[in-house]
Amino acid sequence: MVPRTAKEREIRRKHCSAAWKLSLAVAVFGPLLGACSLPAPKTHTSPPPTAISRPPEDLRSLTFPTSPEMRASLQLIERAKEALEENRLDHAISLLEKALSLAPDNPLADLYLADAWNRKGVPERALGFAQRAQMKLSNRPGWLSLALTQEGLALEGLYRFDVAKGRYKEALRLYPGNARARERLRTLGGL
Amino acid sequence: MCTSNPKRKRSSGRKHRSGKMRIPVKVALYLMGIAFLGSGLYSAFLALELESAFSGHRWDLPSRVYSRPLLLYAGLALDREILIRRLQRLDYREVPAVKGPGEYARKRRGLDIYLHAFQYPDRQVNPAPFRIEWRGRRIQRIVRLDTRKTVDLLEIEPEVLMTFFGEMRREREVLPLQAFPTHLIQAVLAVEDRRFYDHPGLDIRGILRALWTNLREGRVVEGGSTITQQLIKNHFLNANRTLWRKAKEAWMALILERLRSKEEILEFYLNEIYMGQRGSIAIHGMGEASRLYFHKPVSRLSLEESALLAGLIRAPNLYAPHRHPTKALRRRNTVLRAMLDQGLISPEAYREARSRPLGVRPSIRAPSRSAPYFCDFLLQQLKDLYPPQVLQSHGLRIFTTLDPQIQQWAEEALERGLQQLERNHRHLRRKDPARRLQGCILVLQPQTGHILAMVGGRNYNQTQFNRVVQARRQPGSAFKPFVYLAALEDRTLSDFVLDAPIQIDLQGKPWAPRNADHRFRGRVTIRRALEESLNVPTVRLALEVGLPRILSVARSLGIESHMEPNPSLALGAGEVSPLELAAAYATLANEGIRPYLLSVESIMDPKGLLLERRHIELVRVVSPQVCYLVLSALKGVVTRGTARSLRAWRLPGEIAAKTGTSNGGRDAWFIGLTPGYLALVWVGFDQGDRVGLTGAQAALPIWADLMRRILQGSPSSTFLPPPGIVTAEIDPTSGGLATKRCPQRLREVYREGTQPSRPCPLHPPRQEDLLDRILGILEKIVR
Repeated sequence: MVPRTAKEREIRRKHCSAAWKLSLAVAVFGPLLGACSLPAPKTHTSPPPTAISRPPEDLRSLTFPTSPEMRASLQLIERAKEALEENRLDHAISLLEKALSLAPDNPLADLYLADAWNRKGVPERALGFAQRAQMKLSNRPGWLSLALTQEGLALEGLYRFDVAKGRYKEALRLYPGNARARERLRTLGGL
Repeated sequence: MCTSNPKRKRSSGRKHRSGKMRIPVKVALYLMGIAFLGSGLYSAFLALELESAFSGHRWDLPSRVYSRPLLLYAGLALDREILIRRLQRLDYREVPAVKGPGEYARKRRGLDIYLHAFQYPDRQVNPAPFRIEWRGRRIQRIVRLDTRKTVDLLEIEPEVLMTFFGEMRREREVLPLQAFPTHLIQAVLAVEDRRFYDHPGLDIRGILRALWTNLREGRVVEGGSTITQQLIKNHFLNANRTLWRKAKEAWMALILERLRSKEEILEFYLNEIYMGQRGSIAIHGMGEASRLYFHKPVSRLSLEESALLAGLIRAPNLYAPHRHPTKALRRRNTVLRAMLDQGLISPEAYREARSRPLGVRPSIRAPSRSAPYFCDFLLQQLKDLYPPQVLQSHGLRIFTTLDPQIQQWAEEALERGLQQLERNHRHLRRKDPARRLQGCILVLQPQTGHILAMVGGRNYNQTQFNRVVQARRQPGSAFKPFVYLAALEDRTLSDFVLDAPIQIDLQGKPWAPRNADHRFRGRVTIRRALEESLNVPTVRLALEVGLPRILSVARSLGIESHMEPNPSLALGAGEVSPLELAAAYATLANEGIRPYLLSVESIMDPKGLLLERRHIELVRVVSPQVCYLVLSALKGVVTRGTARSLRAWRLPGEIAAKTGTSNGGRDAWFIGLTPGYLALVWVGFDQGDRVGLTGAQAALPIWADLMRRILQGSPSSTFLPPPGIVTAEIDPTSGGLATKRCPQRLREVYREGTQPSRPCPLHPPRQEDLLDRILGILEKIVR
């Protein structure tokens, strides 16, 4: 509501100053009070995906607010990563699909599925997962860079080299330490 | 002159006599030769028949369709009783303390389970005991009892949804000889063929002994057939009591003993022998019989249980332990006595085994068919790769995506909902069961495309018409999101469209679409048009966008049915199947990425060889940002629009939904999306009678009833916007940025770059509002 009279404006000004003070108090003391009274949200930290590329040292770990489904899904992803490292791709895909089914919002399931299908030489399947991983990882540049790399690899497999180059460039812009993207871009003559 | 020569005469006489004798001898010899050759050839023929039966495809094994397994983990909201019911369906039995596979025991705040062995497509799971502990409704911890280690994930084996039997309707578990416990083999040999290892296929002593016993008793109490003869009779011949059949049986038994070892014959016999009935299904072999009568694998049979099974061979139905427990007990003890007499068991073991009760499971259920419409759908999908003959005989194991719990809830919700509608609305009642009000439900996981539940109608026994797949119905307003998907590629949700009378030339006839309430609202935002499912603005928008474009968007989402590019298309006048409509909505829930619907995950042969594996497949078909705009409006359908009655159900998390009511009120639809599930409900009459209720009135309550149970205990989740989506607070009457003076405000979503930049022209900001804005900005900074 907009104040129309002088009296209303005065009341409003007082209200504003009260709100201002209150907001300052909340800003200063709120976190302290919150920390004392509320339990910290449970999170689960997953290390960067070793199977996708060598983990860059400075890549932030991915932190999730964890539901039980997400925790169980991440457990399956850990097993899938082992399978990927041992090149048991079918088993890895099976585990990752199960992880996705358990927690459909798990971006790592999509990312590793893209990786597994790229390794298996089925880029048309990898593409969809890589694209969806990007949606879910959009606010995590390091991880998004890895998802873009996977999309680039899939696009290369589909002979769409120019688009792939664009993805690698974007991946490097987001995370300059992305060795795989750099190597692929160099191979495609983009560097 | 003729002189007689007595020598010649004698010799000729001898010759004559010998010639006379030679003819019958020759004939006899010829006949013998022919008989010998004939019998030799016949024996060779029989030998070939026996050999091919032994070395080739011995039995017709029915294929089985499995649901998805149940994954347990810490934190999962799962009622203990639901888990127990599932275990019971999987043939687990309750015991005070678990000792072996297939048992469960209730504990104070938990449940002990000794898992069965199970061969999954990618691994073999061995039996192991686990303890599941609960805290409230959630699983707190899972511990492996033998190692005392905490387990992150525990997989409960899938349920059998259906078994594809052949004409003979036989069920058996084929096992190697090593899998049968020694006391079972001993018990079988003790009563069926005690000289099995000593005779050549026929037991003359056994025949004489049986003859003597039968003469003494004055009735047939003992048979003289060996196990080899029984096998020949059961597998190769018929049960006719003719001399020829008996002779052939004996002859084949002799041949078989020459061809195969005793062990092979015994293994064949133990897998072949008829052991009773489970409803209309004939149970063959000791493996299946052990599961039927004792709920356990044959390897875990005790002495007295083995004795009972061995005793059943003679007359499985006469000694059936459920129908004739006294006879069964007597027969079991006879077997135990025979074992004692033959020195196979000690007197102590005999006494102990004899003192035990029969120990059979309380009841034998005839195999039921779960999710019948889903199984039909599956058959249809598999028919090219695996024709019915193969499914009936090759013992395939088909692993599906179906969640049996959700399936059960869906079946219950549909029946309950339809009954409720019939109770509340007299015009929906029909006396003829074939003309009753019908409905269908499909539940999907949009991110994977997995079909979790499919209910094709309210009673499969009455009608096998699978409405999810086979029905072609007008989607009505449920089609509108595809119009808006096409329109929002170059528009925003706050753009305006006119809700005013319009007349269109439709194949030479004038057509004037109207809104459901027959009112016109003037200028409305695209959001409002979709949320309130307004027909006239939708038609106007469709004409602006172009019908071919709308058709193309619908096709890319998975609508395959033929549709004419008429203006009425925008209002869902074309006909679609519920399956394709759900598939198209799944793309909306999946950020514009279309998942291919999956019902089969993998197919294995009986030996565990993976024959086929189907994977999740995704293809980007629509821009994720445009998709999110439509999704956002569909969320508004629930909060403000035609599905606002859903709020009363207080379901957790965000829901996006669309109601649908076809022309003439013949179809009522409700399609609802949550971040993890998509469920579609259709209600209508097969014969096209008028339902006369909206989707919100007829289908929404069924949807809500189902989702109430699915979402129970699941985390409250939201649809996350994809990158490239921004929000702005606008005045919905002008579409401009809201000012302090705007009486109505709405936080609207936009594709980045399309959000309004100018303040609301109807309520421009004043000087003092600027001060408020500055204060607001400062407040934000401090925060």
